[in-house]
Amino acid sequence: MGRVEFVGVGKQYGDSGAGAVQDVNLTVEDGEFLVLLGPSGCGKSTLLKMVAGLEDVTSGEIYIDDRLVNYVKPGDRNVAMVFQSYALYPHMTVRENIGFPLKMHKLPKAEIDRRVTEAAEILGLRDLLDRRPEQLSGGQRQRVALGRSIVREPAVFLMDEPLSNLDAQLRVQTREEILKLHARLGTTTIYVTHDQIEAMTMGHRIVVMRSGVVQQVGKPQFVYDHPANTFVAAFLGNPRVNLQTGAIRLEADIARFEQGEVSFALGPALSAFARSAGDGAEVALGVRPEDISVEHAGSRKHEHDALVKLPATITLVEPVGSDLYVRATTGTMEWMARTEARLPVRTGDEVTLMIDLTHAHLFGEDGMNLEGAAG
Amino acid sequence: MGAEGRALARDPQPKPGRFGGKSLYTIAIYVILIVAVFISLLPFGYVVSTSFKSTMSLFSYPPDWLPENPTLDNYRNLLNRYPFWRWLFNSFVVAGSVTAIKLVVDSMAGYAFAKMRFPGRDALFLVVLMSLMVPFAALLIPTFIIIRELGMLNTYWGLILPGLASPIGVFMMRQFIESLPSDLENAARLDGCSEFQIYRRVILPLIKPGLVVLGVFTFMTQWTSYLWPLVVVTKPEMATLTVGVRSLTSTFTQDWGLNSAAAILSMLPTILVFIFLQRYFIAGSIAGALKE
Amino acid sequence: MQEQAVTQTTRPRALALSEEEHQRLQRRYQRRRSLTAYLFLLPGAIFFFAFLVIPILLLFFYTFNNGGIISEREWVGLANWRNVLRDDLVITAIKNTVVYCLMAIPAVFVISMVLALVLQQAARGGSAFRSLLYIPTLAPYVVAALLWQFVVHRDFGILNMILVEFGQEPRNWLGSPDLALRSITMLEVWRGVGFWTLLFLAGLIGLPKELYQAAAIDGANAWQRFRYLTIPLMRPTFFFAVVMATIWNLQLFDSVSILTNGGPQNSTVTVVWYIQQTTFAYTDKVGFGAALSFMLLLLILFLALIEIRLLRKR
Repeated sequence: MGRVEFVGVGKQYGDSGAGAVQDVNLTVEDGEFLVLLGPSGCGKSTLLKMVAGLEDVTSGEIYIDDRLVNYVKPGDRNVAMVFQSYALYPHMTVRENIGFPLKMHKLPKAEIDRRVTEAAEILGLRDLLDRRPEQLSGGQRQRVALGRSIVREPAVFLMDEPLSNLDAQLRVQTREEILKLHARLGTTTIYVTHDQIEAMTMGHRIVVMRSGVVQQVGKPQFVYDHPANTFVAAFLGNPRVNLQTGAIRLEADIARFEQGEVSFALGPALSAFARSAGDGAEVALGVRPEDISVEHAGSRKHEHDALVKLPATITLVEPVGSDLYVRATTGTMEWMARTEARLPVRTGDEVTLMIDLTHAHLFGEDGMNLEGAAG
Repeated sequence: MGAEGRALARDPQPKPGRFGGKSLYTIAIYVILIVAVFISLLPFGYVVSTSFKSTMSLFSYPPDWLPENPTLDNYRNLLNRYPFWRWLFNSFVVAGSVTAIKLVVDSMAGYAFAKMRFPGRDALFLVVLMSLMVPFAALLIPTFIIIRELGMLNTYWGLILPGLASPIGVFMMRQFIESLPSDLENAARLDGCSEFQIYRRVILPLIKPGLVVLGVFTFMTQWTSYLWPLVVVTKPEMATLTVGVRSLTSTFTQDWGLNSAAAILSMLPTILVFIFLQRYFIAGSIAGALKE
Repeated sequence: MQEQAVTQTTRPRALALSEEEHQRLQRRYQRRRSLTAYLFLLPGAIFFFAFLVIPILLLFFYTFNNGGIISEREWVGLANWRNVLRDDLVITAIKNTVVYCLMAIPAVFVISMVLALVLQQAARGGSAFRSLLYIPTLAPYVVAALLWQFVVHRDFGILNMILVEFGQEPRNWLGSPDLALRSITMLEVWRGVGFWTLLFLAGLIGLPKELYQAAAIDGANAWQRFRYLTIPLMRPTFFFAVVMATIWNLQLFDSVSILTNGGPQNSTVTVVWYIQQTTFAYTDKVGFGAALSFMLLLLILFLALIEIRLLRKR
C-alpha cells in the first residue's frame, strides 16, 4: 500500500516567501509514479521533504495510507528517500549501507542478510558488497542508494533528482532501471526533477509547479497537449513553444488573430475559445515548433482550415541532426520551427511558414488556457 | 606518499632557462627549514646531554656537548628519590579524563549547534563565542573557592572539572560537523535513527579527524597546564608532572642533571603521541574548523 | 476530453483537525525536537555554568569583599577597586603585559607565517619538519623554562657563548631589568612558533588551488600571488589567530613564575602573576586579586572586541 494525500498543504519560511509551498491538494494513488516538475526554487523539493518529514508542514495535512503524518518522525513514516547526493554513509561498506535502515529498525540479522542479498541481486551489486562508497562509480553509488531504500519495503519511495549527478548516457540507462524497478515492486513513487524528459518518460502523472503553486496535474502527454497556462506551455517542450501576443478580431463565423500588420484566421476550434474571450481581447497564441514547417517542393499539400500560411524571412538555421530548427520573422512576429533535417534553407531566405493551429492554444490575459475557461 | 607526485603536479615542465633558479629556491627553502628546526631543537639537545652528565662534569667550562662519562645517575636518582611515576600517573589521569569527557561533551553540543533546530540556538552560540574570550586565569579565585566548597582540593576531580568549562571545543566541533552534508543525517533520520543514533553512528565516525585534533589539543593543554594544579594541589602525591618537576627546583640549589632527566621523561609521552597522530593535524582539518 | 486542463483545486478530503488542534500538535512535535537538542547541550551546559558563568558572578561578588581563602570573608565595598586603581604595581603589570604582547605576537606571527609558506613549498620531508617544529610547543612550561635557562644562563647559556664567540660582553639575560622581559618573550616565541606555523599551514593548504593556477596563467609573480591572493584569502585564519593570540598572551604567567618570578625589580610582573601572588602566595588579598582579575577580564574582552571590530570592517 502507499497512498499519499496532500490536503491544503503549505510551507512558509519565516516571513519571506522563498521556497514556500502554497495550498497543495493532490492524491498520489497506490502504485503510482508521480513526477514533481518545475524550475529550481519552485518548491518541489520542499514538498517532497515534507512527505519525508525533513521539513515541517506549516499548514494543511499530509496522509500516507490514511494516516496523518504531519507529526510523525521521519523514520516512522514508512517512506524511503533517494537523495540527489545519494547520501551514502562514507564509513560503511555497501553491505552496511544497504542494511543500515533494517538494523535501525531492529530486524534479525538473518533477515537483514537475506534482504540485502536480494536487493544486491536485483541491482547487480553482488560483487561490490564489501566496497566503500568512495570506491564506487557514480552509477554504482546511485544503485546502492536505491538498494538502501528498497530493502525497507516502504510504502512510498521519494526520489529527489536522483539522476542529476550522472552523465547523460548513464542517466538514460538508470532511468530505465528505475522504471523496471518500479514495475517490479509496484511501490508508490514521488519523483522530483527539473528535467522535462525525465518527467515525460517516467511519470504516470506529472505535477508542474512554479513559485510554490501547483500549475497543473495530469498525464504527461495530456499536460503537453493541453497546458493549463503559458508557464506550463513554455516549461514543457524543446525548443520552447512560440507565444505570440495579439488581439482577437471576431468575424461572422471565424475569429482572427492580429498582431501589428499581421493577421490570420484561427480555424474553427480556436475560434470557439476566442469567441468566449470576446472581440478585441488581448491573448497569447501558443504554437509548438513542431507544428510549424517551411513550405518546399516536397511539402505535404493537404490543406485544412486550421493551417495558416505566412511569408517569412529566415534569421537562423540550427541543424541538430534529427531535426532542423529554423527561426523566421514575419512583421513583428518571431517563430521557431522544428522541421525535417536536411531542408535546403539558409539564413536570409524568403520562405512561406506553414503553421498548423490544430494543436495550438489561446491564453487569456491572465495566462490561463482559454480552453479550460470554455470548458 | 605522493610527495613527488605533488611536486610534479606543481610544475609539470620546468622551463630549461629557469632550472638553476628553481634549485636555488629549493635550497633556500631547506636552509630556512633546517635553521628553524635547529633553533627549535637546540635547547633539547643541551638538556638531553645534561641529563646524562654526572654532577661533577656539569659545570665544566666551556660546556661539553657530549658528556664525557655518560651516566644514568640522574634518571635513577629521579625515579628512586621522588614520586616521579606517581606524578606521571596523575598527569595521565587528569589529561586523559579531561580529553575523554570533552570529546563527548563538546561533540554532542557541537552537533546540536550545527545541525539541530531549536529556539535560542543562535543566541546560545553567541554566548559560546563570547565566552571564548574569558581568560581562565581571571577565574582562578572563584574557581578555587568553588572547588574548595565542593571538597575537591587535592583530588583528581578538583584537577579535572575546571578544565571542562572551556568552550573552544564546542566551537571547533560545531565547525567540523556543520561541514558535513545535511543529506547524511537526513538519510539516517529516514532510516529510522534517533538523534542520538545519528550522532553515534553517522556523525562521530565522520568527524574522526576533528576529534583527533581536539583530543590532542586538549590533552597537550592539560599535560602542560601549570597554574591550576599549582593552586589546587598541596599534597606532593597529588602533584601533576608540571608541579612535581617544578618542585625539584624549589630548594636552594638547582640540580641541573636531575631537572634535565625529569624534563626528558615528562616530555617523552607527549612527543610520542604527537608523532603518532600528527598527520591528522594537517589534513585541512584545523582549517575546516576556522571557517566562519 | 475527460481530464481537466486546469489543476484540481478541490481537496481530496476535508481537513481532519482544526487549526487550534494543529497548532497544539505542531508545538508538541517541535518541543520534543527542541528537547532533544537541549539534552545534547546539557552536559556541556553544566560545566559551562559551574566553571565559567558562576565563577564570573562569584568573581564580581568577591571584588567587594576581602578574605575568603585563608581568613574570613568580609564586605569592604569599593575598597578593592580603589586600591587596584591606585596600585603602582598594577600599572606596571598591565604595562609589562601589553608590552610583552606587542613584542611577542607580531614576532611569532611573522616567523610562523614565513615557516608555513616555506613548509608549503617543501616537496619532500614537509611532514617531518612540521613535526620537529612543533616539539617546543609540546614542552610544558616547567620544561620549557628549564630549557631556556640553558639558553640564557649567565654562565653557561648558549646565547652568551655565542656573544663571547663574537667578542661581545656576556649579558645577564634574566637578571637585568632591561632584558628579562625580552628573554621571556624569546621563550614564548620559541615555544609558540610550532603551533602557529601549523595553524597557518592548515589555512594555506585550505586555500583554493584553482585561483593560484589562474593567477599564474594571468602572469602574477610569486610576490603578487602572495600579496593579492594569500593575504586576503588567509583573512579568516589571521582573524582567528590575532584574537586568540591576544586572549592567550594577555594571560602570561607560567614562564614568568618559573623563570623570574616577577623580577628583577618588577620588570617581569604580569597581571596574572600579580593575581596569583596577591591571592595564593604570602598575602591573602583575595578581594584585591578578584578586582584585578575582573579588570583583566574586562581588558581582554575590550581588546578582543576592538580587534573583532577592526578586522571585520576591512
